[in-house]
Amino acid sequence: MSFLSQLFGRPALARSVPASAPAPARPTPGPAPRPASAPVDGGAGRTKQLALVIDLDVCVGCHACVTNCKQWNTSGQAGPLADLNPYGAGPSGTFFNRVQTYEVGVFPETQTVHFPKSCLHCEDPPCVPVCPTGASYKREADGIVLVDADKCIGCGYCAWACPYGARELDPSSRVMTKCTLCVDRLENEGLPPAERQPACVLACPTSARLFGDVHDPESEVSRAIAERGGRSLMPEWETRPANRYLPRRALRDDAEGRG
Amino acid sequence: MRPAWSIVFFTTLAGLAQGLFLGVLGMESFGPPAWSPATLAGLAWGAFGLLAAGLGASVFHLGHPERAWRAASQWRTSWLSREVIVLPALMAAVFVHALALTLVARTGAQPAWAVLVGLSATAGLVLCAALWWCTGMIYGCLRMIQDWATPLTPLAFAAVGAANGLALATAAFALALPRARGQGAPGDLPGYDFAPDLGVYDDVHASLAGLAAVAVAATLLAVAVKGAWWWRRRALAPKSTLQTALAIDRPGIRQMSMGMTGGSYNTREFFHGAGPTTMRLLPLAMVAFGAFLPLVALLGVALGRDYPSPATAWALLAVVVLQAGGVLCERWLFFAWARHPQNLYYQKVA
Repeated sequence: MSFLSQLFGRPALARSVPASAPAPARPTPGPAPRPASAPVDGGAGRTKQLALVIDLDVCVGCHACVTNCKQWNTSGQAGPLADLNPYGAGPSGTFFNRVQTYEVGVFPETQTVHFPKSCLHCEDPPCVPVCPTGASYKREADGIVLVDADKCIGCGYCAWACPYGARELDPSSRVMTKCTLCVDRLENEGLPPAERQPACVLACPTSARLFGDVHDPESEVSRAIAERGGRSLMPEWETRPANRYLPRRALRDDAEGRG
Repeated sequence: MRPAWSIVFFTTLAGLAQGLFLGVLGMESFGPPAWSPATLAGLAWGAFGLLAAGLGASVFHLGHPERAWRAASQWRTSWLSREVIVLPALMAAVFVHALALTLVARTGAQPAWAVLVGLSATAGLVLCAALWWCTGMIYGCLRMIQDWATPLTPLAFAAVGAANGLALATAAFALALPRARGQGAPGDLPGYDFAPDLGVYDDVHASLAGLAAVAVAATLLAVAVKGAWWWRRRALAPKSTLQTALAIDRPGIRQMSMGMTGGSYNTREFFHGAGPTTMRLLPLAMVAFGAFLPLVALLGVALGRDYPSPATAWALLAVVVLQAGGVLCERWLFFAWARHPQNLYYQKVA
């Protein structure tokens, strides 16, 4: 098995070419064999769904996850990621993870909420079926939504289909990029077992980011979701995001009127 | 959304080509024999050229055009993939049609050419409709972009493209007046100095007026569909709010920082960035040049008592070019008016 196929776990990539070799420019006769990108799974058929659970009570908005994410991914399999004008007035670049800040309530009863935002690895990802090349896919084995950079034509259609703005077209490599849940750490035998986790999780100084299998009811993430009422973003689009957010206790409905 | 110029030009050129091709097919089927195969072939080649130009424009949308062949693979789930298949298929049908008409013009009507003309016309007709549907559904299938997610979107692509292309066909046929000489006096056709066979020109004039009337009907349909699209959009309530975006059920949420200072793909791709003056003037230009001006000119051709003189025909072509400008405005606004839910996360630079 090639390194790439181990990373991305797709039958289409399991051909025996070295990872560094360019994709052979042969036209596929008709559609490629259905890869792991089938959007209709419903989560029922998939035994495992890796995801992040973010505790909004604990996040302090330090951006350590953003920095570590960029460091790992710019120097790893997905990189290099664009880093335009890094020391100028308008630094801009590709990030898989951003931390935003919101203020909720009326002074003096306000809450400052730091809000980390990355790909939610939807159970029914709208970005996958729209991809014309099959570059965008969801791994059957663990539900991670990925982009095959060698197949992406950079049309940007998947980014339009994502309601969360989780995808960024890299201006340098001209392909779509997104959070990979550090897929190249998870099964990386070059790392100590304790570090086979997403870089953002390892960097968080307050343990606001939990990582695990949300389909396993006994996992830490599933228990946290159950105990704390983990929420999905924009449930109205029925994308069923795998990542969940643990709401601020002070902002829960049952805390209404008590600050 | 940020209007993508490549797609704005591609869809405008393809619509022109499709409408022109329909005009040629209509004249072939219902027009008098005075419209020579050479004229019909010339206009069919024009439609092919416009499609090729549109394809060329669309390539600029891709980050990696050298991999574009891969885009034909996901036709089972992706409207974009289907469009990538239908566009070259339509180009092939139009090419064969133009070639068959050219062969008829060069070697005379032969059964083989007739079969070729008939088959390519049928295929072209179906593929024209399919291309409009695929192009429209690329946008119409995105449920998150509520402004686009309506069957009115593909209908508008078809109606606006047909209106522009049929107007182009009217202008092109007016310019390609057949020179059937006969018993009439020079000047019987105003602006032309040859002695025409007036019996022929009655039929030619009637067919041109008929084509202009169809173009008027298509323009009115486009105005109706686009008007309904705009009306629907005006009444839309966004399903997503800052509350659902953050999963915080409290009113009065304000963004303090969007996590970067210099902007990102999210702030570039999903905002049109045009000022209020532009957003006020472009709809006026769209209506004036895209609908009003061509309606007046085409009604003149449809109801006019005389065959259009050369000067009138050139003026009509100028009107069609301005109309294409109006359609460019329409396409630009189609993107600019689309509100993406991700913009909820990008309201405050800090």
